[in-house]
Amino acid sequence: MLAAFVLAGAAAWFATRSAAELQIRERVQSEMSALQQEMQLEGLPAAEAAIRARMETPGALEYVLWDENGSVVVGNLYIDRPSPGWSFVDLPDSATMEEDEEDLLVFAQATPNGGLMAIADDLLHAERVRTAMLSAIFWVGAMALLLALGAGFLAARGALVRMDALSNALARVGAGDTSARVPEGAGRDDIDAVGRSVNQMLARIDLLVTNIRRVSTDIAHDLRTPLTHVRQNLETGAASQDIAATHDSIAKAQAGIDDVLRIFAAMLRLAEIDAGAARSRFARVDLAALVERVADAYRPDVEASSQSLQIELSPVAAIDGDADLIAQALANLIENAHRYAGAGARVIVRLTDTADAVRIVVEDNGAGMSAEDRARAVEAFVRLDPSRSAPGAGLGLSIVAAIARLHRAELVFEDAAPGLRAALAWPKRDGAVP
Amino acid sequence: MRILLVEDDDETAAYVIKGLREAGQVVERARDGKEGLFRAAGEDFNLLILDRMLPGLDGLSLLKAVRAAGVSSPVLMLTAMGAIEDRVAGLEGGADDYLVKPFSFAELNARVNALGRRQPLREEETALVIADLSLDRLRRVVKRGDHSVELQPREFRLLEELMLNAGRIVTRTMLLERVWDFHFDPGTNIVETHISRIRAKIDRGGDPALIHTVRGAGYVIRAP
Repeated sequence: MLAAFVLAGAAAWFATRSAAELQIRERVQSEMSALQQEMQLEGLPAAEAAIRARMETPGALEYVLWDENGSVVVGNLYIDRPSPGWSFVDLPDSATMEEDEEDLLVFAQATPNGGLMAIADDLLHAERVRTAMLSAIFWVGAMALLLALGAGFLAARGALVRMDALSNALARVGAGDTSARVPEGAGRDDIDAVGRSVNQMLARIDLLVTNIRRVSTDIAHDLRTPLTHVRQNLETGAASQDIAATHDSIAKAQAGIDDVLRIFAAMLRLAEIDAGAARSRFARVDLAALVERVADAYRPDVEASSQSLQIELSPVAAIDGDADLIAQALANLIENAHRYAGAGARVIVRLTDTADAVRIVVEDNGAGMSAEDRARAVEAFVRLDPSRSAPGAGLGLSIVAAIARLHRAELVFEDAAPGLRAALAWPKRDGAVP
Repeated sequence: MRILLVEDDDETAAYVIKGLREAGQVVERARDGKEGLFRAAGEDFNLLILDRMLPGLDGLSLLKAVRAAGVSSPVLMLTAMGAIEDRVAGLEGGADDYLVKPFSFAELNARVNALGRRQPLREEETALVIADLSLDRLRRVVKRGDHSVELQPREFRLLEELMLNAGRIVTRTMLLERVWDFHFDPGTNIVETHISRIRAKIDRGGDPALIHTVRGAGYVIRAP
């Protein structure tokens, strides 16, 4: 902008300079031809009178008229006789010239009576006009520039402050503080929309990071115990002289490694389900047959711990899904009930179809879960109770949750009063499961 | 039995080859998919064991190429842990069975035996008999001596699977897959509790036990 301003100034400088000079030349020339005509038609005295009259006019040009002998007849231009035509003449001593070496622009022409007439204009006049004009341009330009900058600044200031807030929030997240958020304005402009989207994204990232941290911690806990046992058993086996004892230690170490591998398998399964590739091979699933097959598989186990298992099936709307994964989700829920409901509990596996959803429900009348734990179970899907120390127990529910997500179903935990009711629910839209 | 193992990892290959040779098998090894295809198509093997992840030509493409070349030998695919897609793709691509790495040798051996000795007519047989235990697959009747044995549908399937593999070890995982169609690891003892129920029903009154537990491997049904 400044460069443009300077360029415009320079252009104005040269343009005004040549324009001013041109204007002077025109004026001087027309004056000359007017006086020459006067002299030719009216004679010398008339011309002399005309020059005198003109000299008196304020802002007039400067004149001089020499006779044929070279003596000045009339005039206020004190210069030596110039040669005819245009010339620049220095005024050696003049109050008007000040320090400036700027000269007069002189036009000389022979008169009909053999004399010489010269008319000049002080270029300083033009210079003053020009300077005044340029300074006007400068000030107008400077004012315009300042106004533009000021208005622009005021307009941008609000946006800049908000963009700064956005950038600060993102920088904080980048530095590891996933709880940072962009201050949300109530406005409906672009920046507010971006801010809201960024906040939604940050909330999602925060949840994921928190989950990963918790799951990692849980997995580390789950792995520590069997790995410690493996190490102890291998040390014992290596130190033992007795072959049978060594074999026993190795067998125990193997069992420990199997536990570790089970946890790894569960983690990998979780990652694979979350990747969502299974959705591409969804097919019609006969939920009634599936629920019966899975629940029935657990009957001997459940009954062996003096619990009872009840299966209640009703006809349900068709579901598209992955039968293997739904079976696994149901198996995990039944195992959960079986493991934590306690001896003597009744476990009910129910398949229902109501106006709002198709549900697979696993309900027990055991100790249940506190309201907080139920809320956390839906939110985080990690191990809820530190005393529930079975390896991979947290991953089991994580897998159920992931399978529910994959199927766009909901995993719900409710108070069965007493006991816990866990449900996989496929919500209906317009009376059908989408 | 003559087996071709296509496996690029030397340690896994050495482990599998050593185990299978000790179990009395003849094992050849190919290091990559191309060599595997060349040998599988050019020679006669009773069983192919293909790793899913191979340099050059991956296991699944190799499987399809082998089948396209008209090789009908049973194929066992070795897949990476946690890769459900691999299992599905493998079975769709013409594999007869799959095994997830890392596996125990007992598991591999049981599956190799089940695949290798499978007789084409066996699946069609309607009457399975072990000593005085008989199972009629059409009428779904089980008898021990003169006594008829009442089994739940899933117990019947479990006994049927054991009897189809009479004399051969069937692992817990194989039973979960074939009897319950469970392709995940349940945290509980589903198989064990069902086996003990069946035992209680068929071994009544001091009959000699037919179903045996092979520690660390699985179960086998055989005549006393």
